[in-house]
Amino acid sequence: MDTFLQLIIAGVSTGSIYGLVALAFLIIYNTTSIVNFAQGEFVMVGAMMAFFGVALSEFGYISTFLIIVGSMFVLAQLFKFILVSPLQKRGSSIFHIIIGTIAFGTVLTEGMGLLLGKQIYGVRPLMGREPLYFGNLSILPENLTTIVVSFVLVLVVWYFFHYTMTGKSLRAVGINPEGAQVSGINVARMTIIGFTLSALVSGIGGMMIAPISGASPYIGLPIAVKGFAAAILGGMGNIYAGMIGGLIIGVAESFANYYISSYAQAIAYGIMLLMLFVKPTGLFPEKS
Amino acid sequence: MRGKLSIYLFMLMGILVLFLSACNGGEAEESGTNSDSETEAGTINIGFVGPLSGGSATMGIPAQNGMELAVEEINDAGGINGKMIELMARDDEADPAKSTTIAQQLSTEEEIVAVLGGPNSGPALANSEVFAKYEIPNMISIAQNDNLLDPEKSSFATTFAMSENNTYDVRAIVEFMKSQGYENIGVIVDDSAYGQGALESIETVLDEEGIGIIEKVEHPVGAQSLSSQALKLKNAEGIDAVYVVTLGNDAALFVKTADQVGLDLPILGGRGLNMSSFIDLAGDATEGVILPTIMDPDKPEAQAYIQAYDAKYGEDNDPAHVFSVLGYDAVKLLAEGLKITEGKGGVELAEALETITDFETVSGGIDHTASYSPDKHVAPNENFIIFNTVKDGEFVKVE
Amino acid sequence: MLEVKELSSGYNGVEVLHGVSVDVHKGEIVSLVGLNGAGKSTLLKTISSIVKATDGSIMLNSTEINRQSTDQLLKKGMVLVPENRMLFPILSVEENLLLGTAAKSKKYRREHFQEKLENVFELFPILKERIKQQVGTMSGGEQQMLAIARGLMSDPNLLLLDEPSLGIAPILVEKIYDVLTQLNKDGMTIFLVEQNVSMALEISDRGYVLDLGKIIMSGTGSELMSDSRIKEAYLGS
Repeated sequence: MDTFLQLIIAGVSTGSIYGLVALAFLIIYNTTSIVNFAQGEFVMVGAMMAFFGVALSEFGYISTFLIIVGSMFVLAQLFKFILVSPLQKRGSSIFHIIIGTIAFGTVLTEGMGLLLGKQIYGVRPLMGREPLYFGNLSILPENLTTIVVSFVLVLVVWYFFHYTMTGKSLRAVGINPEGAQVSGINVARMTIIGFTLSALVSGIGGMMIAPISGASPYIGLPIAVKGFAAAILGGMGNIYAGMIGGLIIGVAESFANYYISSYAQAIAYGIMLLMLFVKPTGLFPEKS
Repeated sequence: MRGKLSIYLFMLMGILVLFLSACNGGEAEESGTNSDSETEAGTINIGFVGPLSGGSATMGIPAQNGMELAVEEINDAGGINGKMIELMARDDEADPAKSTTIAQQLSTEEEIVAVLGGPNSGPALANSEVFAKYEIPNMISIAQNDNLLDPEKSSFATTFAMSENNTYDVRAIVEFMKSQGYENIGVIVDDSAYGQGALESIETVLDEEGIGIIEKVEHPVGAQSLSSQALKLKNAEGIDAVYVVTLGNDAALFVKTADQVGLDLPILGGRGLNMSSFIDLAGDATEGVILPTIMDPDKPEAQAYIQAYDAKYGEDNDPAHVFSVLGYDAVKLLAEGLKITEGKGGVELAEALETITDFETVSGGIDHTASYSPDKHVAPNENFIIFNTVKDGEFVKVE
Repeated sequence: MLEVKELSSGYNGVEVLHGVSVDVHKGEIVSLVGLNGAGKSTLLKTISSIVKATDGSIMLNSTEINRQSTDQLLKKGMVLVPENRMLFPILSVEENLLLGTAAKSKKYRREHFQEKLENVFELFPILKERIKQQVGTMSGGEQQMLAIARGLMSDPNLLLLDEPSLGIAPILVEKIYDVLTQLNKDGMTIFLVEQNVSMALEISDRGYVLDLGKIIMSGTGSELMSDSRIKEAYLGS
């Protein structure tokens, strides 16, 4: 029984990381229809900045957090003004922009390698290293922080999209960009807000995983794949469902690793493929 | 207006951050590849094919640094018969296909007399065939898969290794296990060529030596959770110790998780644990972990090397110095061969390398020397491996 | 109020409008009629800065507005109720109406949102009943009313309407036209694009006929109605 619950705890903590990446990915997808293949690299930038702040510069986590916020803000601007806007101005299709995001991600990886180094770096966790115990169950403090932060972020994003004018405007842009424009929404401004929000979520995700599995310029792709799988499972049209998708994949992986370890690595891909065949809109499609 | 201002402030801050990091990270790169644009008549070109980017760069970059350091020392002392050595480093991203292409290009387009191989067994195995075809002596620096050097293959004649192979490491650790009285162990390996190759060696050697493997688990490189694996080992009965053959960051996550789920067994590791990320990520959970290493802190040559390396590349670049020193010693061994051939490469150099005996290396224990012979192309003698443990966040020698 | 001079525009390098000139004076209802593909919607989109003009000028209250964005034009009191309505089907009626105030300040929303809401509910009482309903579930006519209502939320004084009668039951079309004349009586200037020529010209002070991207005729509503060419081409008699 303890093993069972312990596996669930492990699954939930990895799942919340996948969910966080899915959340960031779905924010961009649902506001601009851009599939951002550089999402993993956004997370990587957050992780590397955590390394830069906490390990390299020996700042506290608060200063590091501010550095990450600043960097992610800059990153969103670069994404918009170096990649998306120039392509849109030239009348490129959404497909070209999506291909462009792959290139953007590679540039981020290599650029970060040149800036901060190409090795795998360790970052000390935020809340100390002593495992926390609840009866017979235990959890590492960095995993607990990740779970809490992920859920809080989903709530914050949900509140933002449903209860603020900017958030509603952003949703409107996602639903019908021309309709948003004639309603008087500044679509260009909304796009940049969407990118920034997504970058911030990614950056915080990066800050969360740096103490768990280390920071390196190359962590982007593997984490992005899990994030995409989570998003597809949850439903591409539903910003918050990615978190549920992430949790399902995380828990499935956790159990598979224990009971059928040879197949564990295929779990995320398997679920993703199955979903694409059986129900491409995901488990929780946005009602429309 | 205030909204705009805060946006600009944020941007400014971000740019500052990027700029600061540029200043900070810049140093490591300056010492990179020597410019290979000018190949003067008076230089001896040596290639290096290894991962300078990607996950394995944690080994590849220190290896390259160690090589550069050795080249610098040799050149400062007058080079080989007055000719300067020039290192031509190429990044294969630990990709066998890429490594083969680079090998082809280095062999045909650059006048290299010899080449140094990197830390990954897959690429090393793939590119050694190419170098063998062109009769370019190939000194593999770090990779330790058992099948890299096969006397049955034609490539054997020109392929050499600085480091010992997995089986050698496993035998050393089995001796250690026996001394501790362990009878049954659990094993965790990653799913890369490194982990899988090691697993084969472990199964063979442990079987011979009569130590049982009760449970073996695997994980992907760069795992986000190792709870399932730790729990499986915890729930397996009769294990005396856990043998971890994976790289620093994954090993860190494993020892943390082991601690958390209450897997209270001695942990022994492979050489891949010799990374700063291991201690940085896992902190106290690494205390008492036993891992094989090839740097003996009691050895004066090693002390001098550590000082020189850290002064040039910083303490955190390769804290255990395991990867850089193999690059360093590999170059020194090649240079020894080149002295005999007066700078010539090819089969002549391979034959010259085979005559080297009892060459003093920085790596290895106090009594370690390197020797080759026509049928022994692996440099170390029986004193190569020593054991470290982690104490107060530092790697220290086990007496 | 709105002066369009020698305006050209199009999509992806294909010119649709070739030097179109149109005037709309304060307090008027002006109609633009023409066949499918004449460029009527393109003209409205160009005026509202959704499609960029390639040549010519657009003046609103004697200021050139060619380079202004759509939201800036809404702030200046000109709003487009687009063809196909362009609503947000998964949002509620209330949310759609709220988004109609996006170009306005927070202060405007705080002080005038409720009042504007009351105004549009007075014009279209059905919307009040549907306030929490998802827009995608409403009929075409109701959606058209909502599209006009959304346009009114930003308190415009110039309304550009693109085919408000398209695909709607005749009885609802009549209702919408009643509202338009009512709005006009209360001071709203209206520039109306229609395929339903007789209906549009009937309520209009003046009208223009657009054909293949050029204005081919203009005059008062009744002048155009009685023109034989118009009758032949558009009224089918």
